[in-house]
Amino acid sequence: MLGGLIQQLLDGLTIGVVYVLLAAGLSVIFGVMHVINFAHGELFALGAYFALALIGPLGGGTGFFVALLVAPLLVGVIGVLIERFTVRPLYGRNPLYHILLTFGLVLVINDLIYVGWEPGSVSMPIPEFLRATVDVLGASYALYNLFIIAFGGAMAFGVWALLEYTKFGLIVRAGSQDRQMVRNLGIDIDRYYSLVFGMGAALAAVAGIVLGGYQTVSPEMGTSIIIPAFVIVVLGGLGSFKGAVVAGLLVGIIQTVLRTHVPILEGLVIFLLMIGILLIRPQGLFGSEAHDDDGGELLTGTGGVLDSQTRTRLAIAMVGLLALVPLGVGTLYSPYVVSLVIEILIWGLFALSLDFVMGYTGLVSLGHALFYGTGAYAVAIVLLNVSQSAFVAIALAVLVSAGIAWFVGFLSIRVSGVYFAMITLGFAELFYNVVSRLEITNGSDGLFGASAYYGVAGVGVDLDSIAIFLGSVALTGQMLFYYVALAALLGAFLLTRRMLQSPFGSVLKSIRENEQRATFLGYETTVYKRRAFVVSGALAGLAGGLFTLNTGYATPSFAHWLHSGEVIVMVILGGMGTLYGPILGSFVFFGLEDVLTDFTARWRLVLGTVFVLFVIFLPQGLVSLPSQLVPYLSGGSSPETEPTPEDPGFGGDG
Amino acid sequence: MSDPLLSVDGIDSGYGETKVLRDLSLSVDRGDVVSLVGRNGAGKTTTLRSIMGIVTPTAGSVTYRGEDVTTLPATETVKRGISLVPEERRIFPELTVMENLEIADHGGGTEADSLSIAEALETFENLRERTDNAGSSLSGGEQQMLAIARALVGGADLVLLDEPTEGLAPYIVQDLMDVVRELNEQGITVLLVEQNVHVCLELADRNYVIDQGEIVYEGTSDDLADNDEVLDRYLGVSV
Repeated sequence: MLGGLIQQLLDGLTIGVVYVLLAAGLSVIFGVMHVINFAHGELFALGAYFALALIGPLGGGTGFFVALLVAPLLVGVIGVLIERFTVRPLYGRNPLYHILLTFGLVLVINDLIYVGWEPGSVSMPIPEFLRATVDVLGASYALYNLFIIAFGGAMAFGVWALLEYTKFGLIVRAGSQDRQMVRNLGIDIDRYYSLVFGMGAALAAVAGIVLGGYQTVSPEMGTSIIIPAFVIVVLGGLGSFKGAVVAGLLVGIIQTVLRTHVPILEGLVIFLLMIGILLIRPQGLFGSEAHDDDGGELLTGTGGVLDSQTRTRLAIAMVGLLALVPLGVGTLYSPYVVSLVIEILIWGLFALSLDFVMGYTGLVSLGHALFYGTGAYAVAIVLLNVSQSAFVAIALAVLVSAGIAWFVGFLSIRVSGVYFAMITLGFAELFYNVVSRLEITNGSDGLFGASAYYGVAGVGVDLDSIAIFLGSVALTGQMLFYYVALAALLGAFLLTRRMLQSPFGSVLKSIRENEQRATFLGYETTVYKRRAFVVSGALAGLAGGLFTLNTGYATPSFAHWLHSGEVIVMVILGGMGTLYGPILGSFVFFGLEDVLTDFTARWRLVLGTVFVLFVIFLPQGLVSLPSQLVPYLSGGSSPETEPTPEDPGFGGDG
Repeated sequence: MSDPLLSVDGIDSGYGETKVLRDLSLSVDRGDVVSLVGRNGAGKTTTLRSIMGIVTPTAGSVTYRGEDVTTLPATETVKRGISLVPEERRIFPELTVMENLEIADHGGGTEADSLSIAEALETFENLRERTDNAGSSLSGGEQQMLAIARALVGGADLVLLDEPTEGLAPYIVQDLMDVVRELNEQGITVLLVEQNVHVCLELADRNYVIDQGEIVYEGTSDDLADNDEVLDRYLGVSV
């Protein structure tokens, strides 16, 4: 019994030390530069792959130690380059842009790993003598694990000493408290940013190598470890090295002990811990008082160059054009096009729902896939167990999503900025882990084979068994569903637009511009934000519900954080704060994916690159392109003469 | 008369679209204490930020020791011997008093050799017993002293003091004024920004009154003390 406990403790410490190495870099990078680096997990994976490449020709003995030295240096250099060329242009903007940027980098680096190495897991050759086992207090134990604990511990200690006892460390610590004051003292702190980023990247690489030798190396290792790493950083306190160490070891041990004793809780506890901590003590265990979200506001899409009448006409024309899509099936293109556009419309709706909170109240939800997933599962469960009525299923999906959004909003909206992003991410991951485990959701396989009829109480039609003939074209099945999706998107667009034109919408916009001033005007901003969040959650649930209604399935991946990231990509790509921009973003996202997959399996690489360039150079999205180009096209006049004022009516292109 | 140590000539400055300073000029002679006094929002802090290079003026120039420093960033102006002690002091709260001083110690400045940390602790004796305490544990007055000490350790010849007496108890204000006087005797030049005209009148050799981004009055403390119109109109003080 005691032996078993010690065994678990040592296993926990092994993982814990890896977490510490990852979280320490993340936390220091956040502390000094206020950058939430989602790409940290990919740098971790890159470290492991570089090590594999180095060990290959050298062999597992000396090769391993050479790799342990050289691979982190290489990844460190990559970190420096990333900071220099992608992160740096964004300082001074809202820190949320860094989240978006590094999410784009995740897509890029992850795909580069697929380009360079085989998919699937491989094991990392470790030196022969580390394969031995030793007796620790009666328990037989792998020497390699002890090596991880000792080596990782020494690395962490080294970093701590560096931070505590060197001038470099002093400047880094001071910088994490007050950057401008450090500059006022004559220290060019910007020069240190690259170093800090590189150091964090190198630490992540070390973590990737030692963990690669313990478990296996796979391209997904980065995306699966980054979220626990964030949880640890938040638990310990954003920016606190000590916090990263304590929380890293704690989470490692808790996870290991739970895996043995209460396996059902293993994936859940850390998210519950994070949510709890954020609610009770947002600054974490060791963090200092909440970091201000310094830097500018979120950049929303600016009004176009068209007058509102033209915009309305354009919108009607677009809707008309979209309504014609199913008619071309069979003659102009295959039915595949209809199912592609259905997916675009559904994701357009999903992106619109996110834009409603992100673009209009400044709340960046990093876990919006939670509501999409809720809607999808609600529809699947209702159809499979309760009623086959599509109307009943969708209505329940919207209600349940709204309810969950109210609950999440009630708990989360008291924190703002980065903390809000993290807490929503926590809820989404919690949901992901719950549906992966429950019986009613069929665990990690998900639910399949849900079918529906359109009607209530047994009276209605099945889309597959009816057809509407328009000349030579027979509209049936998916082609009819297409109109359901189009109507839902159009309805949601008109509804949200109407809401934003109401006094309610004006308050939302004033919150985005300056929440404090809105408060001073006597508005209880929390209430307004919560309401907007409920509307947004309901619409996201509608989107997820429609998807399941159409395809008949729902899987845990619907709520995965990559899903939440993708929908943010669409919103930014199209243009935040415009409602129609995100729909455009969905078209471009899936259009690019569709076109690129014909040429290369590595479409995420291209998409990620496009997205990174967008965040850096065109943060207001595609919809701002015309107004940005006009000054150049009209010739002569300097481009910066007129900052485009925000379009008061935000028009109506669809 | 020799060239002034610092000379600000006709600067316009502000933030983005907002203009705060219009054609503002002032000068500070070596060894003087000069005050810039005005109401809230008059442009006092922006003036200091423009001199420092945290904000770059859109017109006019800032000259220090005959060198044009208008477009230099703060990191460079410090090395030439100008140091800002900002409003709210901006002590690093989680660093110890000693570390707060160490980080500034990089040997800038030219004329008055930068104070060593030991010398600074001589002058600011109430900091001496507290070197291992965190910055956040100091009282407001102690933080203000530490902020000034930090500027001197950094090698400042010209200290820009932004509202040093704000929020301090009257007897601490007295201590602070004694310290400023003492430093001035040691050869440190001071540009003092204040809302509290009494502090200015007591400390300064010359005073500038600023209103809505423009200098509206310049004179010695004796002259200003007698000028009821200026005091009443721009500073709201009836003496």
